[in-house]
Amino acid sequence: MRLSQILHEEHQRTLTVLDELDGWRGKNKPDDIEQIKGLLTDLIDVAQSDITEHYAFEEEHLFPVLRMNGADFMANMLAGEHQMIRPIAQELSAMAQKAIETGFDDQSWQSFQELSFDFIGHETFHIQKEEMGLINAINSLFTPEQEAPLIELYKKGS
Amino acid sequence: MIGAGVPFGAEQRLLPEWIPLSFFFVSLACLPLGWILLFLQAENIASFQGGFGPVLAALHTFTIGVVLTTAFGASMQMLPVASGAAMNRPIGVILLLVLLLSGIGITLGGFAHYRPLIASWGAALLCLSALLYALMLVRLLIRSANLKLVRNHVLVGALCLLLAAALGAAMILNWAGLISFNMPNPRLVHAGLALYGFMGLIVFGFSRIMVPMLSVSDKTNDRLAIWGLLIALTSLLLWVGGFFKIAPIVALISALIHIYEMFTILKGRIRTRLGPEWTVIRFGWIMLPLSLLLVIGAQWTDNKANITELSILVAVLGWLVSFIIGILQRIVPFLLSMQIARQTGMPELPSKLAAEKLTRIIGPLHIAAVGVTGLAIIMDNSLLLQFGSLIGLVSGLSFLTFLIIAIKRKRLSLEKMKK
Ligand SMILES: [Fe+2]
Ligand SMILES: [Fe+2]
Repeated sequence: MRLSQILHEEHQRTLTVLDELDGWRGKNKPDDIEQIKGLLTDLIDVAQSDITEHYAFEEEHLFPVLRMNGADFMANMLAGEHQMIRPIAQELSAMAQKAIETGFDDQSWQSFQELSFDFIGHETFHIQKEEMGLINAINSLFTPEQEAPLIELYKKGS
Repeated sequence: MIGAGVPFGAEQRLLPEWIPLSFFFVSLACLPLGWILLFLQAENIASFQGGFGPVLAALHTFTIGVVLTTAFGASMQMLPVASGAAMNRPIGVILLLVLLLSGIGITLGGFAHYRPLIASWGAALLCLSALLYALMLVRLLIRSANLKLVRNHVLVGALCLLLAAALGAAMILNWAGLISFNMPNPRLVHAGLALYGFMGLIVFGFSRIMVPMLSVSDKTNDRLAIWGLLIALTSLLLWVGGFFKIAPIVALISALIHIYEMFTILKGRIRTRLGPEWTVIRFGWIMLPLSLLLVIGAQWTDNKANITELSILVAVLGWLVSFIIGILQRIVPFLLSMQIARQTGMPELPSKLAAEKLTRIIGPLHIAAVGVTGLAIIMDNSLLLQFGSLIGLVSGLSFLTFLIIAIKRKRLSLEKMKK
């Protein structure tokens, strides 16, 4: 499997969860936390693996190559977005974790929703830009032989 | 280890922002203007036979004012951004803008006031702009490894544009008495090449980049698209060859293939919630085969019941303008967001730049306008046509406002981020 495909599939996984989360937009808080528990667990999973493994991998191994090829602006912008999304994802995970344990009240549901839509907006836009350029770029930047050790490294990390 | 150009890196892909915005601003100014002209000419639409005069001016306000201008602007800016092609030098694009704008203004003026010599000047400028555009487009395509999704469509489209422009100019020069030009059915050939040849194929090609990008989907189907293009090419050749009864049937197959691919892309998207702009885009997709059915009807029935006029309305306002209205609602905030990123290193969310309330009415009003004006043409009712034009006018003005608000919000957000 090509590196680009691995990253692409991770983007898809994230977007799938974001989409389910988006389904709660404007809705009342769930009567029973069990209704949303699966989603919250997925959200924590995705948020954690995104902001640790996926982002770190892109920052350490892909963005430098972009910069070497004169795409500083794009690399810096994507890295900047990672910085911006990290605290949102962290806080959202913490909220989700707390909700799994103790449920939502009106106030916590409200803040969970607000932060969710921040997260959805920024993360979707970020992935959209990476899918536009980065994913294609990887295939022309690395030969399958060159990226093999990177894939190994990435798999070990996760 | 690495090739010369990274298909990425938007700082080499972004024109100074006023250049694409000028294209889009002109296009969105022509939209309400076109509806006003339609309103004023309501009584003459039913008897329109393609002759020179204010009705032709109204039609071309939409076709060259709205559609061609957007196509030029989007090609010069969105192709590089979305595909990573190195863009053309800004000075070339500025020249294109100047040639196009002066060409549009002068040609429309000449049409509306029955001034063939003035229209001839306009036609000359438009031909120059078409030539410059085609050259820059080919240059863009040659330098990009990543544009295979659109390359063939756009090349054939550009060729059709040159032919349509030359044919249009020849008719104008003939009208002015400057040349003597004889050809059977030049209007039909010109209209077919311009609407379905150039604009259609550009839309087909661009959609294959823009629709997956905007809906976050990867379900394009290259083989199918090539078949669609070959069939489209066949139908265009048939049309130019004078086989007017067969050509639109062949074109219909190509259109259905395109629409099938588009709906497959949308269906295969990762994110399921689509914004309100997608309603008018989907409406446009459905209007494309409908317009071709009407062309077929017109050709097989010797234009019973204003069916030719209706087919032009459905093709231009139903299909092309609807598509543009939908896609531009996404492109404009996206480009502005990238401009913010260029200056601050961090993009603003495009959704924060888009006036959401307006996006909810622009599309539906446009659809209503197309429906009412279409009905008016069928019923040959000029009062109803005026009513439909007014609805279109409100939609067009809302969109112009949307653009201005987006630019304003971009300025505000830039100030905020710089602090
Ligand atoms: Fe990323
Ligand atoms: Fe990523």
